[in-house]
Amino acid sequence: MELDKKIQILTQGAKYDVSCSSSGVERRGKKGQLGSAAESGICHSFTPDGRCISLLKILMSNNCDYNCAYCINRQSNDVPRATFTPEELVNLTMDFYRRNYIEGLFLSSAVCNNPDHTMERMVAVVRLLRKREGFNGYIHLKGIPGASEELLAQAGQYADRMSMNLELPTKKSLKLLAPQKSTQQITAPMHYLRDKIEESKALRQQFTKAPNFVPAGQTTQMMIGATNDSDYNIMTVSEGMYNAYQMKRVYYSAYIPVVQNNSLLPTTVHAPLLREHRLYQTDWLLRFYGFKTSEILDEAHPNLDLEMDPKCYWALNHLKFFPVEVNRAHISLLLRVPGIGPTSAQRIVKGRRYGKLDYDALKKMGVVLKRAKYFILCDGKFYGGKNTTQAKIRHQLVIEDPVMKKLNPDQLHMSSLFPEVFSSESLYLR
Amino acid sequence: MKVYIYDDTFKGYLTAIFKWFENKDFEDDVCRASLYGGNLINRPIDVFTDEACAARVVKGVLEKLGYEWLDMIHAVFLSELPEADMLGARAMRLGFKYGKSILNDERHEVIQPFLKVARAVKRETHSFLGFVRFSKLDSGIYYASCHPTYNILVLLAPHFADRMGDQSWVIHDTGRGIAAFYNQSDWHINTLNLSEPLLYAEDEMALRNNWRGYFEAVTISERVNLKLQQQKIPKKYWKYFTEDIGVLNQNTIE
Ligand code: SF4
Repeated sequence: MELDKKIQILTQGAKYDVSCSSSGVERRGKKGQLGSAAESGICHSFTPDGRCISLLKILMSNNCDYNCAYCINRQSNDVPRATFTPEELVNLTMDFYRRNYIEGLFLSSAVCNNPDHTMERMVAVVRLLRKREGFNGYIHLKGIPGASEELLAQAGQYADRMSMNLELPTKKSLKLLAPQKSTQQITAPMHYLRDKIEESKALRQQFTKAPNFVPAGQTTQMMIGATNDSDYNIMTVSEGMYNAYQMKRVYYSAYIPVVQNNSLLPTTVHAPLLREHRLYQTDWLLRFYGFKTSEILDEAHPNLDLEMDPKCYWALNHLKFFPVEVNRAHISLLLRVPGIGPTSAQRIVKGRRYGKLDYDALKKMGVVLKRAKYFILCDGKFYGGKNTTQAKIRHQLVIEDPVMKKLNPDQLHMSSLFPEVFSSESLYLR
Repeated sequence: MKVYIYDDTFKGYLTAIFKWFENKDFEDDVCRASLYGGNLINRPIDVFTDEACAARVVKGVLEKLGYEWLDMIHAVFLSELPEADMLGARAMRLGFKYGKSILNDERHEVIQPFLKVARAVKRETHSFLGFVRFSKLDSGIYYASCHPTYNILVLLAPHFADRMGDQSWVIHDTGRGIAAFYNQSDWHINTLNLSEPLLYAEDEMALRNNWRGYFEAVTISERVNLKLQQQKIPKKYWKYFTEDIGVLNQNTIE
């Protein structure tokens, strides 16, 4: 088979994995060798869907022996199959890298024969890249559920980041849709990787030359909307992932109906992109704003309000905390105000040392006043209008929501909506 | 009113700044030669670049204000905007007077535009770390052409010298007619205007096709959003890409 054809097949099989970040590790180049890694990640291009291309995200093979109901590569699906030789992948990565098309490689694979066989071939590729080619660029390696610890240990020496995908938030859903995988097979490697990562970190504090192990940490991904799991289920699992496994990121991927006529799966035509977007915003609140899932969702309110971002949703339900005086409030409180983000909160705290901040000053600092004005006082003054009620504020917040604004009924399914999540790395670049 | 005119180099700029401070008349201007227009009230003074003066300014900035400041002053200088020379000078003067944390005063009439320009230059530099596209020439040298808004070659070169350490490369700023050259050990910047078409390596076209194929295949058609793509890659950069930006290929939409 022609190389071009293989690239096409094995890229299309990999593209639904949404993580493409190349961040989390800073590594200078080595003399006479190729490659380095940038802490904040670098985007090399943006696809017509607006997502950042940073890594060559590709499958080793799509020749799968499993039959996960939601997956285009499942055994029973009639799609063209292809498999790269390690040599082909090594050359492709090097040639793309030399032209500055990519930051590195994100290698994944369908399960060929069995997990260990698959993992072994993947490890062979990264070993060649690192050992023979002296490649110092970024490598993200997917772990295959059920792969042995020995192979994970080898993989971890070469990879900057590894990921085991949860796929679905509950055991029940996994059993239903991916009967050949078990939660155990997914979490055991996570566990193992976490321990090895910590061990290597500790060692490196004593001996700077101690070998690295997955220095950019591990990530995972869940699919949204293929089952009836609630947002509360999903976010609770995410929170657990961050706490128990020190995940760097949890990714959410709206289930795109690649499979038709399966009674197990929803018959939607459109991917639940709006919901995916709201989950990312919630995830953001957990990681950068000091929120806990239980503050936003619970058994009685298991799903997010799709019409506004989760921070507005929370604030609206906790009006008793507001309004807060921007000239005095502690930064943790500022971060709870809709329309104030980590950067603008920092700017407020620093800026108010030079004198009282008024409404105008907040604007210059990047506060989104359309949202914030209902929740703040500037030097004692309230700008949210007279006789504000919860219902009125809600109405305004929905109208002003950047996503809802762009939304008209015909567009509900269109992906023109939620872009920010894909470029989330760059939000922190100034 | 005097105008200190320098030779468009960063060292020249620092020398001019040195004179400006030394003379203590802060109504005076500092201006690079290429931007100087001249008029009746101005009295132009040619500044000759002086390593020692420049070094003293650098030392002062590093000691009193820190590396971040020097970095920003340099970035603003590279913007080549008409207001850049004075923004840097005034910001520095404020820094020396009120201390380095004056940078936090984002509302200040000098600090605000100073930060804005510095950030714009840094943002463009960061984008170009990703957007530069090399092609392999017949000679084995990797060549990239680009035309950044700001004069950022000097910020790009160290990154690529570090990263593409084992290959010789040239990054050509076609708009300014200059290029960064790297020979697997050092880089320098010089003028470059090509008179003949480049001769590419044998496998170059095949590789570009591989890349275009990848680019099309990785797009998720259910999510197509060309507006967002354009927001991420401003139109003025498009023609320097290997892949096609701003269009949907038949394979993508099928
Ligand atoms: S193991 Fe399941 S999810 Fe992975 S490629 Fe095979 S069918 Fe798809």
